[in-house]
Amino acid sequence: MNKKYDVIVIGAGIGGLVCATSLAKRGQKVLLLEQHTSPGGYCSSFKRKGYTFDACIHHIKIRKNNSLLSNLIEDFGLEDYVRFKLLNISDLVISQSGEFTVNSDVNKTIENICEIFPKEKANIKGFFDLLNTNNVSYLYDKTRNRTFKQLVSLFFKDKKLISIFNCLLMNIGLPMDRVSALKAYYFFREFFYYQSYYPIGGMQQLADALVSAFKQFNGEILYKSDVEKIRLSGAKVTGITCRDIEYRAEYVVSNTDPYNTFFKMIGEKMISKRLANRISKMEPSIPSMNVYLGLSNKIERNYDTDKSLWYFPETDFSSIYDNIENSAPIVDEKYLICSFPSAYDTSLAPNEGTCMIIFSGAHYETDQYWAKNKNRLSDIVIERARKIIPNIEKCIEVKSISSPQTSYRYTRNYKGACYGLASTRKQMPRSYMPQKTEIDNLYMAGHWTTHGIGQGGVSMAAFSGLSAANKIIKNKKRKNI
Amino acid sequence: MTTIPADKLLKDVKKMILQIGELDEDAVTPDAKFVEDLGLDSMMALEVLASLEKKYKVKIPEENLAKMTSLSKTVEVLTEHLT
Repeated sequence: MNKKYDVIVIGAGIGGLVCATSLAKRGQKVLLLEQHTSPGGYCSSFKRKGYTFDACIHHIKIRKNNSLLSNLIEDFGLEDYVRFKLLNISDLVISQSGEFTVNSDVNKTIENICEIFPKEKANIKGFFDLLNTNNVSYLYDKTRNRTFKQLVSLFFKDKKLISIFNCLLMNIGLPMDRVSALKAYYFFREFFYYQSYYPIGGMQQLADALVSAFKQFNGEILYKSDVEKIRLSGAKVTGITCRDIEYRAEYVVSNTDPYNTFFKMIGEKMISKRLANRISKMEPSIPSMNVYLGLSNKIERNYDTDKSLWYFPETDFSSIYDNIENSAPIVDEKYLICSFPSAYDTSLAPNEGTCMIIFSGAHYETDQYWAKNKNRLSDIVIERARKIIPNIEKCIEVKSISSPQTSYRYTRNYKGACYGLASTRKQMPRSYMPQKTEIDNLYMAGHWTTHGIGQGGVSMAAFSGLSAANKIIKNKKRKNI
Repeated sequence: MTTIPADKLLKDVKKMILQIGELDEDAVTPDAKFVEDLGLDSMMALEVLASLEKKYKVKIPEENLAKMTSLSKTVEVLTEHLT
């Protein structure tokens, strides 16, 4: 038998890091276990021949003094460990109808969109007013039981305008006729009304800063520590087993997916049929294929490469999601979603080069499929990227490709899903995959749990981590009374 | 529409609030305010509303949603729409 902890947290993604740090800060003895060699999950970076690439996240969204992430940064003292750069212009959207930028000042963004669709000006303003509303009953009235498609159709008729929002929903991974209106509301509110920040040194710096804060509050973290088993006594957790060592704890938080948590680490026989059935039927969000390119300083540009680009002038986006589910989306589609982190921090690329990351929604396939096809598919994506950088093929100094299987290997997300549970209307209520599980003192955090506001994204993961920590503290207090 | 007895309605709504807010039974008195007294966040309040509408198959107009700030008020508004 080993030491006893108050709480063991499994998985050092953003949800696990925030949960563990919040608990440690409140005096709990916390052990955080991560199967990979470094923290962060999707919020991480890696290096190849002098180029630093962010695995998945382009930037984070903060509303100064008034958002979960800004509160956490202050509360945990993260600015002692990481500096954030404000991006005045974070995104350029190139659509069939025209181009617009996403600015730190939302009024500029609205103006830009209105310039493309002058006839829709009043409707665009109405929609943005909804995104900014604090009137909960108004919001509820507009979003209840609706998909995002039903919500936007209350505001817009122009199909090309609607298509822009559909394109940006790649950040949730669901088409507008499937995504919950409320989830899309939260996403767009953050996307347009919050400011974009980039952690100097890469996304990994945010995860590393959380680890530093966690350690400062006396938290312990172990890497390369794949948890084999969550141990129970009756219907209550007693700890975990990891690399054949038992660690005891009063509470366990699983910041991994329900499949991993309940089927692998606990065992299907130990849970209710209802939960087992729900896990078997859960719908994950889409996975992706990412192409990471280190480019020399000889690149020619059709567009400025100093912000994230959403290039879809030849696409109406209605078929993309079908293709992701049914066939080879990368071959059939003509869009590009890419980011250039070296524009925010030139030290990420050597010799004034450029780091380029291209995101494509993908289909979950076997390891063998990706081993055989990933080079061919990445060539298609790179060929398409000539629209942005005409001489791209001549400038590639480093190339790395990640498939849904790569995502699974590094983060253990079920089927390599990018955003956890898909934010469909069915999978929204907090009772669908609650953080407080049916097993006593076992909680869940991360984008596979539901809290009524949708899954996916750094702030949602952070929210779930904080919320799990709050639930544990509340539960402890109740027991002490 | 069939009438649901007032005490049954109160019990059902309370159960829903307890579940969604993960609250102690004693805290949820009829006049305790959801946000100010019980610490429900606005999204939890929304989810209580969503669950009620689903359960009782009603649609409460926006102007009445804002009135549903406590257990007793919620039952009051709900009763109006059920009868």
